[in-house]
Amino acid sequence: MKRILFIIGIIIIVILAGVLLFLLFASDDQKKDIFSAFDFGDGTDSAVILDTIVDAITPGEDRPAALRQLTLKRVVGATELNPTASSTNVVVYFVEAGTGHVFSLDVESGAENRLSNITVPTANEAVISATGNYALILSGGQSAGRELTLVTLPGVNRELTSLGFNERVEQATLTSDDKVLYTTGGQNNLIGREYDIETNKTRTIFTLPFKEATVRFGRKASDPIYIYPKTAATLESAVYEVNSGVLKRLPLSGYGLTALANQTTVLFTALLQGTYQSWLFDTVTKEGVPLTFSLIADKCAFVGDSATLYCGRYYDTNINTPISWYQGTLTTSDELVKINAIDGTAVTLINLRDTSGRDIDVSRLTGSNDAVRLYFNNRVDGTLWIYDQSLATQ
Amino acid sequence: MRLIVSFLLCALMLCSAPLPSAAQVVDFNSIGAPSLVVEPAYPTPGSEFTVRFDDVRSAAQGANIRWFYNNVEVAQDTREVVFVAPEVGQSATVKVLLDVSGRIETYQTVVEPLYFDLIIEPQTHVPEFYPGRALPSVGSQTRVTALLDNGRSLGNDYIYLWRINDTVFGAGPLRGQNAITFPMPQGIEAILSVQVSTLSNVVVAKRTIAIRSVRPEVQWYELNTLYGLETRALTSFNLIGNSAIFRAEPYYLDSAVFNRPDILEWKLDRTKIISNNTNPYEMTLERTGNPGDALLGFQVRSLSQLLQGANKNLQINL
Repeated sequence: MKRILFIIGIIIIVILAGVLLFLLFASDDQKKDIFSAFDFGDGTDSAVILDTIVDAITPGEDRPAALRQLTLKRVVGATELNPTASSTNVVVYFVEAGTGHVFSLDVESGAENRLSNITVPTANEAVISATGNYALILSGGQSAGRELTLVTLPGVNRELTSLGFNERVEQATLTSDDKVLYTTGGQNNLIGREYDIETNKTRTIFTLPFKEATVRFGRKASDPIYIYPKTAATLESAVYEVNSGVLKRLPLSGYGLTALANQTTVLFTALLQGTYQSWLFDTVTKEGVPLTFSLIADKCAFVGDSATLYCGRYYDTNINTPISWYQGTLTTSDELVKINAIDGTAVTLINLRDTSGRDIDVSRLTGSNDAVRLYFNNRVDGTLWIYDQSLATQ
Repeated sequence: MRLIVSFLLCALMLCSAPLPSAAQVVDFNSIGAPSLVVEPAYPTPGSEFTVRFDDVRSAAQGANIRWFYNNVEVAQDTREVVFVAPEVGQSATVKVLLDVSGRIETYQTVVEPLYFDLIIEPQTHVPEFYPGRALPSVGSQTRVTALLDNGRSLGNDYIYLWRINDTVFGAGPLRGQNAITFPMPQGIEAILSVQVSTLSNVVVAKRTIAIRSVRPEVQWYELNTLYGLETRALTSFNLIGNSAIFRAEPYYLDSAVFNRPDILEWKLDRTKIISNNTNPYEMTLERTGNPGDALLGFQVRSLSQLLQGANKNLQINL
């Protein structure tokens, strides 16, 4: 009997030694496969059934399609990384909805790799730095703002860490110079703050005398910030510019106003005689160019140089369009358009439904630095799509 | 004798009749006095405005009129000229020289354009994900902030006179109070007007706007335990799993009513049911019986303000 117990003891000691050796010498990937394989992203959702990825390969051709779905996961933010000398592959980092997990995605092969297993429950918006160093994740939102989490992604001399902010925030972004800009609500005002990741210091950059505002941050912390009272078809809004903490009114106002801006151009849409009209306003010359169609600014982005604007466009000038789209009672089926932000001329790049066979409601539009590749969410199911202009047939 | 008495009585009556007061005295000299009329009275920076020279004196008929904008002659022999207002913080002088039979008369007005915005922030409910602005409904509290951006800092340098419909807010002019909160009155809209003047009682801006009331409305959303609230509204729902959580969002319901409703009622196929969810605006439904259709009903209401309420049903396919 004693011999049997002795043998069992030896076996247990050998097994424990094996586990200890594995923990000490196995790679991170191997460990993750064993101990962290709780992939919540594949959880089922009764409302949306994600079963297939559309058009991975152009039929009859040995190359990827220009328009294709990149992942089955729901995505709340994606960024194409800046090219590096060590890698020629196009890599996108994205944040999964609900979990806040950060993934890398090889655009050509479609291979996904999870970079962060830090779970941010009910993550609903994210910004990732183009350097791939940081991911800023907004989550929750039952009342009085959302929670903000800054995830430092693993890399050379960097470990995976996360930082929670004490304040509840309304809107936030991560600038190209690694600063977190966010707004937080006061009693009857809205306060804009800047958090410097490097120095770990926070400062107030503006205080608005009203609270219900949409804030459009710039790419860099020093860029002008554009602000307007939130959109309402029956209430007037006006566009303000915050530069070095000073609030300045721009000559842009109207009912149902939505706006988007970069350093030199403001795209704004407002009601004109009962229908929506869009203009491009040059902040330097103070001149405006009317567009021949209307746009919801939330479906647009300045990608690449500041003179080009890309948008998901939907033909509807109904007075309720932005509001019903905001409420989620309207789902659009868009085409992608490229707009010259100087003279307002536009060209349709692709009709998304004709090509994919699906209604694609464009949101969270972004792109590569050279604007060759455009990335966007389909608001219908939250999936991430790419439109690669270099692969488009002429 | 009777005639003399009658005469004296008439004289007495005439003497006792009230004399014309100062207000009733009409200064006939002021009628037709030349003036420059600016329309709109308070132009915004960079906008077009019209200056009209009003002069109906017979002596001025056929007189030579010369117009100057910042001392530069811009027009002649016209009664009305359209100008473009200067940028914010700058002023422009419009001057008219009138040559009446060799006698030169000068009239001028100074235009100081400014932006005068009224920011309306209704204190009504909208979901957290909704990027638009809440709208006012009858009885809801509404905050209005006046922003006077004319290049000078805001502060206690101005006096504000607010009116909601025919009622003066605060019973009079209020120094430095550029924001007020008031309940939306009955009716489809409230007429809000505000006049801003300096401490020396010079009116620098006036504005009147109509604020339309809307009726609260319910939209349905699914609450996903993983992703949070879905942002696409439901018109009907196919229950695929064993259960689902629904949230009724009463848009534009007064925040006070939303937080403490007198009536908050759920029904399933016209039978009252109780929500066991922490949030009373949420309902979890579980599949229990045979497949079929069900109607989920919701209503929220205030008993003191009957227009503060909304209801809506959701068709569910089990």
